[in-house]
Amino acid sequence: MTPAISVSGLRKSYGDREVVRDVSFDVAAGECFGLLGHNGAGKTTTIEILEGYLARDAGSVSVLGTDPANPSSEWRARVGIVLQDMNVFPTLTVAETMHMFADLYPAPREVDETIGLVDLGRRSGTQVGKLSGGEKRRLDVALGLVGDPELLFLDEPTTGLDPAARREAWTMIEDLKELGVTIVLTTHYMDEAQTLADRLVILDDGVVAAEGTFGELLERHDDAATISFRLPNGVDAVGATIEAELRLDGRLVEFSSTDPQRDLYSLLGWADEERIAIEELTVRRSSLEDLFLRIRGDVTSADTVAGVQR
Amino acid sequence: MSAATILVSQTRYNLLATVRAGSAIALGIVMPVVFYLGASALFGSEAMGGDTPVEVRNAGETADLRTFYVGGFMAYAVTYAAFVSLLPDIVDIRERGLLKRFRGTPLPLSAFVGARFAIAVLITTIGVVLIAGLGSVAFGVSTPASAITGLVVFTLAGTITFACLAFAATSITRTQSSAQGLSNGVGIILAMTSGVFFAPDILPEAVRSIAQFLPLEPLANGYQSQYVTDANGIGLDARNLGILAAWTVAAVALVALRGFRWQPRQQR
Repeated sequence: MTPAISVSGLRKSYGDREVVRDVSFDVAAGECFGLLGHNGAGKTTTIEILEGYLARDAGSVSVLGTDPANPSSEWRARVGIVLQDMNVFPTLTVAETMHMFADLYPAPREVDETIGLVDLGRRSGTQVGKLSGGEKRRLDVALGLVGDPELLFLDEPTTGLDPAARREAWTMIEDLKELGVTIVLTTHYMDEAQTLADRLVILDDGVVAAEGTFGELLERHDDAATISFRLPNGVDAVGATIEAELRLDGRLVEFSSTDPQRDLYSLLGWADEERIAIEELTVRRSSLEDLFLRIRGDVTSADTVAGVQR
Repeated sequence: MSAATILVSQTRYNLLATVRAGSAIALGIVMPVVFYLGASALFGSEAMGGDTPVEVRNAGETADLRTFYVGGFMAYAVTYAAFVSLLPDIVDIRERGLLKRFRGTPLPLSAFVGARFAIAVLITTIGVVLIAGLGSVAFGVSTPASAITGLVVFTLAGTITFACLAFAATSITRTQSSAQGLSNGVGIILAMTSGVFFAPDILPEAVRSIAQFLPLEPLANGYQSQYVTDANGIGLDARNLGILAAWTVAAVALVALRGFRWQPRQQR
């Protein structure tokens, strides 16, 4: 089956800052595809290229068989969009807003039914300005669905929602999957991707850092161990030869190891030789959260501590 | 959905949102009518010299101040409905991300722009009709039948000119509040120099000659001419319409040059 979306060698720069660097992935028809990454990883730029909002610099992109750089109104009618930050007229009611959007499509979904899908039935006569944050977000999703799209882009659908509203949004998105719509979901929440996405790509600094189903990613990174320790005062660099990216957070050093026995031997040998007392040495199995935390840049990335690596 | 159905739907929902938000009605209808009534009642009376003849440029004739005000405030109403209130409205729709969202639907730009023009024409027409009606009822300035064609032509021409200028000016404004500042500033300067609140003959010659090339003065003069000529051709003065057309062309050229911006400027 031809994929709903096919991206290959995608690049995009703003000025001399390249924010998407050679990104490639496919999205199968009918799946819920998660695009993860921290703020600035290139998620929104990638999505906006797929949605037809932004021109790319290089690479090939096909969305429902069309190059989104040349969007036709027929193609627009097949694609539903839920933007991260959009506010409709506050003085129109939910139903009026839905009709305003439904009127733009050749074969829209029935308005009342669509409002029901996002559980806003009782609020259909309410002016949009009076909705809660979670209700507004659900209206955004309903507006994305009212054209009866084959493909729906959900850009950070739960950012800014309280935990209860997030759970409700998840339930709603689970229900959307039942409709057979292909969903592209961007998020920076690991648990959200785990709950909703059939398959995911993690973007980091404009490149694909990991790709696969949640299980595959977990399995792949389960092989590794995470080794961490604290350097004593006066020691600024790790002199041991370790074939891994060291991450430094204050004096705390952490790295993922595919061969913990070898790396520990090397580390402890160096410490012994230099008479350095390393503290709080721990070895544990990696989780996907570790991978994501690392990618999210919560810990200083390897680039900045390259000097201490070897 | 056909293009015509989309245009009707856009007009309907944009109009609902505009009317409920209220500022377009306040700026484009209520304020011009109240100012018109106030100015006519205060300065249009015999005691205040309202009968003093005022020269109407191009028409080669004079009108009393009461008659002069009818045309002046019609032009003021058009300026405030089609420019002063429209510019911040469009910027607001852009900055709330709604234009960007519309761009992700099959909505053609022409239908959105057409809807906003239709709403502007509706509001300016109401303002012009109210001022003509109140002028006749309250101040005895009746609109001759021969003036109606001229009133229709200038209302359409003025609305199109100012709405084009509003769309063009969206490209040089970042936020709704800066758009509001710009449009109100421009509005008040135009009104003060163009024969709306007082007869232009008290203004310095230099200001008067510049104002003749700004878009409000030719519009005010066009309306005023309808009340002092007997439909002998001067009513549709080519120079007045020509200046409005030139501003329209300039506005369209600016949009063509800079492109119309869908994306919000403020990335929140």
